[in-house]
Amino acid sequence: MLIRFCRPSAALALGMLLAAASDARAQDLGANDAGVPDAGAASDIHADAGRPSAGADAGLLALEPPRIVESPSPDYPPERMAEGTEPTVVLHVLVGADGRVRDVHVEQSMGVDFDAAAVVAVQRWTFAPARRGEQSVASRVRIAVHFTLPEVEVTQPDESAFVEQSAEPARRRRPLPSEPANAGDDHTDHDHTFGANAHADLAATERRDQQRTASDIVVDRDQLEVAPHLDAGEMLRTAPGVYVARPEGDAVAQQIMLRGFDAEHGQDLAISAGGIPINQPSHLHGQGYADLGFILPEVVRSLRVTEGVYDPHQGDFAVAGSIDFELGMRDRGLISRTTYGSFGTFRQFLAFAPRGAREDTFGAMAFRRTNGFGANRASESGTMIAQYGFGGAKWRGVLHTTLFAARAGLAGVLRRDDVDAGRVGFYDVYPVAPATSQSALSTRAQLGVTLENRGERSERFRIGAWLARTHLRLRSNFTGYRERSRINPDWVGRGDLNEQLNDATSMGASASYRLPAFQPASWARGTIEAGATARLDLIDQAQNLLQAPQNETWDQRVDATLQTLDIGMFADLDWRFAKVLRIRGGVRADVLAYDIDDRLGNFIPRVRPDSYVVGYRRTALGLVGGPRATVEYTPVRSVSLFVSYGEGFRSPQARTLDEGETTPFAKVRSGDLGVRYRLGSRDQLNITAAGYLTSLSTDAVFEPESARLEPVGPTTRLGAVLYVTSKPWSWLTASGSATLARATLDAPPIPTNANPNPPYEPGQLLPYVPPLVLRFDVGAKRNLVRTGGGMLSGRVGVGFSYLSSRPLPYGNFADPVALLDASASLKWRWLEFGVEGYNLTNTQYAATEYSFASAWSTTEIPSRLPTRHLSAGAPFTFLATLGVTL
Amino acid sequence: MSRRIESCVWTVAFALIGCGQTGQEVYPLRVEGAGTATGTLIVPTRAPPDPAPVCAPPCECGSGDWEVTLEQADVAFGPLYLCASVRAGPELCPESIAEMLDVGVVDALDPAPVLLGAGQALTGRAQSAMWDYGRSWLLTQTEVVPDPRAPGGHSLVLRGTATKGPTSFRFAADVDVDASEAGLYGVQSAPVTRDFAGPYESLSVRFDPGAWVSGIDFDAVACGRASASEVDVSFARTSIAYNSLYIAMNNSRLPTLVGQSSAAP
Repeated sequence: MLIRFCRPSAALALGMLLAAASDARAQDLGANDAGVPDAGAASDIHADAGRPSAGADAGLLALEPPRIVESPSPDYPPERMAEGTEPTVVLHVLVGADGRVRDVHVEQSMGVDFDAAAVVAVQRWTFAPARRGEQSVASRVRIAVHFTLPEVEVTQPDESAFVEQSAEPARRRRPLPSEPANAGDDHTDHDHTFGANAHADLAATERRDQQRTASDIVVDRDQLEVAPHLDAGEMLRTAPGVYVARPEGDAVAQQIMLRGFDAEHGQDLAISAGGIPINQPSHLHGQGYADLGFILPEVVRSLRVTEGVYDPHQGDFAVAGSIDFELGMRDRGLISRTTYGSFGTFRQFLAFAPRGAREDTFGAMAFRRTNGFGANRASESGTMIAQYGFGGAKWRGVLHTTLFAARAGLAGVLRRDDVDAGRVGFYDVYPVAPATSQSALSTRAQLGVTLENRGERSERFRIGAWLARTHLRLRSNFTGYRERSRINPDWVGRGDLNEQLNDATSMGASASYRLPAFQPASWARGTIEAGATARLDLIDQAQNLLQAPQNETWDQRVDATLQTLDIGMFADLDWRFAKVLRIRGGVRADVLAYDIDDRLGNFIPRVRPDSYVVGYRRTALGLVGGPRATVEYTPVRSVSLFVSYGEGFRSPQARTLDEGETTPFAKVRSGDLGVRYRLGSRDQLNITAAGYLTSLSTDAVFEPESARLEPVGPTTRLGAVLYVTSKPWSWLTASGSATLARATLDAPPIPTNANPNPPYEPGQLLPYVPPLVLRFDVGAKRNLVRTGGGMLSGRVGVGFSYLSSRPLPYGNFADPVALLDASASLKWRWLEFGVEGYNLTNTQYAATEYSFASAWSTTEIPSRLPTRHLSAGAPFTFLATLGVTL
Repeated sequence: MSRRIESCVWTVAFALIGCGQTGQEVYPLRVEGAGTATGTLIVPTRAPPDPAPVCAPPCECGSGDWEVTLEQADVAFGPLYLCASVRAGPELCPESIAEMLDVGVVDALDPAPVLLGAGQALTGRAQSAMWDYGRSWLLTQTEVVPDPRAPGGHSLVLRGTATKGPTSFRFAADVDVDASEAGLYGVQSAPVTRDFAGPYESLSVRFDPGAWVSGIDFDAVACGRASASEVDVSFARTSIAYNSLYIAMNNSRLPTLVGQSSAAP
């Protein structure tokens, strides 16, 4: 009989029940291997296990057939989806006495793609072996792997949408074995085999189809698992051209570089996780501040890194591109992972992912603490993330919630000349209170829901809403002892411990509708989608100077309340012509409104007597829009050429706006030219190459003196990317990328009172941007040996990152950074043990470098010349993890 | 330099991206100090007020000018900061374009240059400068702290003789040009025009003590003596003469700063 597995867990139970209760048949090999029967000699296989066969020794114990323990669903070959078929591949499987699959051969082929997918899947299955009495015996079983199309339409119009292949499960549904059979049915006429449904991973299919350009990268879970990652931010390194550092400790957002952009904490990258945007507009520490610390690496199913701004769905901060963390857990069950390691690091991870439920349904939590790899780097954090996916064919939805808190010490930065002279250690902190009192506390709570309705002709309606509350209190000191109080100029020399507070309540909504596919001619078909997004942010900000260690406030720099509103609208076309040409794109426009209550605005320190009440309230509103389009040409099935152009924007820091100012957006114009080559039905080899040119009307760089981003004027990036992924065998995953970038300043820096004639040469490099970023990931995962009733499997992986010398201001160059990480693990039944090593060569490197003036001595004449400062990267770090999956 | 080459190698190898700089390189800066041979100075007698007071000893009531001979003028100089802003000062000049952190002492009567100290300079134009005369008041200190190299702990040690007619006396002044509050400088802002282009930079600071002295009212000094027989006069910190020297060094008679870029040290 053919068993249809609607959900793996139910199927497993059903299969076990049926195997026990029915006359499912298997051949007991015993000591005499009867050999693999001919495919046609089905009756030879169907040894009756339930009743002694005629002539059989009545003393023989009944054969209890093998039972499925784990049966990961096969993957429907994406390349065959357009055909709209639902074939059944019949396999003849040899199950050993230990329950391991010993041999598989195709008995009834349905083509190379389906055969391979079925074989690969069944090889991963585990069985409770067949038994005769108390003895486990080898057996042969016939397994029918039935491939079904997704129960909903593929969301993007493709060939299948215009061929009458709409999936109607009811038409193809076969009666379940549990359903009453018709009277008179002879079970011997049924196919007494196990079966499984192969459901296409709809999300994976959608993700691939959403890739618009050659620079639109999806990093799947297999690639993410190759190399170890301390946190979700480090996962971004697997994407081409991305470099991630965390120079300000575990409670402050990462510093991210992508494609010639030093995005700082997110100013040039639109980042989302679980459908909720993470960037925070007008954040005091950095425009577009996006802290990825709350994302647990274990719940990241895939990463989509869209380099460039060519998609009308991309909104604010999508200057270099956008990043989306898709959350989900492939491993199911109750999972516990306990980690110990270097520097007193302890982490406890706990997750529950119900078997049979969707991958996007899970609950996970983690607690982590560490003493840190150097002085003043201890941290603690706690995270809870939960999602529930619901719905079926027509309606689907996801509920998401996250709670997060982290507190960490900051070591801040060190002058390189102090390190070189031995006045301070590379991993130390300046031994003065304004340095040792640096710390940060970050919290986040968010709730989101998305609903999606899919029609029979690929039309789709989506709606979503989210609510988030974030908080950051950061105390940092980049400059030592240089500040003077503005409120009372007699207060000086108390240390530049700069406290920044950003407290935000944010909420947003989105809605979109895609029309049914339209085919005006046989060679042309397409659709259009229109949508809107909106977000409202209510922000309280404050910046003070504190005297450590008692944290007395001795100066106030910022005290403001902001209200920002962003309403975006877009239209997105998707049209195919003659099967080789695809045009996607449209327009996007955003309206941004600001209300700023700057309670310290108009404050003039000491030079004028008080003649007014300090404070400056103002409002501003602006409109920005632009086109985005990509042309994709696919001359042959494995090769696609892309040409793209797009215009995006970044909103300004609200407090820089004047009354009634038409909001001065930083506008970006970007162009891409690329090619993608795919080899193999399972993407055994993918090669992507692209060149890009991006111009930004107003760029911003981090100024340590103010600990904020300051404008520098227009800039241009010119670069190229090469990205290769390979899965030559199912157990081996490899990827590598090289990204070149040249970032230049297009005009003299903005004059200031302190620097009214800034030097400028055409073609002057933008500091901090690395010209070359390399990344390689290689990993292998394989079953090793059957032992103790379970399969022992192993996994090893290596990740390598290289950052070339980055230009710094004032003619300096940072040292290149080369980091090698590796991990290995063994898994046996429900137990897993793994080790991870980071920076295996124990390289002493700077996670980030700046160039500015500072004074850390209280007795020596201070230098006012800008000089190199560094934030140390972590030395060799070792972690060991014990995991249990129930 | 090697890192720049490495950067160029990668970019040139792909024949896609050129090499470049972020602008503003750093160059070594040599700072020298020199004085001015003053010889015998003629300091005019100030016009008396109207109505003129009755002149009596110890004042010198004769007509004519004072002849002043300087015997010692040791001046401490440093630290020095040159700024891109039109006016210097900690708030307008958070980062300097050139600086010398050393303190040196110059015989301001000797025109031969001596090395004051070494510093660094960035590419660019300086339009102002600020400095101390060997006595600094850091932000983190509660009072002015003289550099050990400052002569006697003072900014200027001045000795000389003033003669007019039958009146002659030796005078001494130990002048401290101090910042008015912590974090400021003895000379808060002085105009400078200097373009730094590298690769070797030099700066010459020329002191003219005769100009400092020319503003002293020696008639008042003579009148301020205890008696006509007093021949050693020390300028008290509260005296007009002391204040005259202070203002001259701090504002009205600043040393000149000139220099040049050169291809060789």
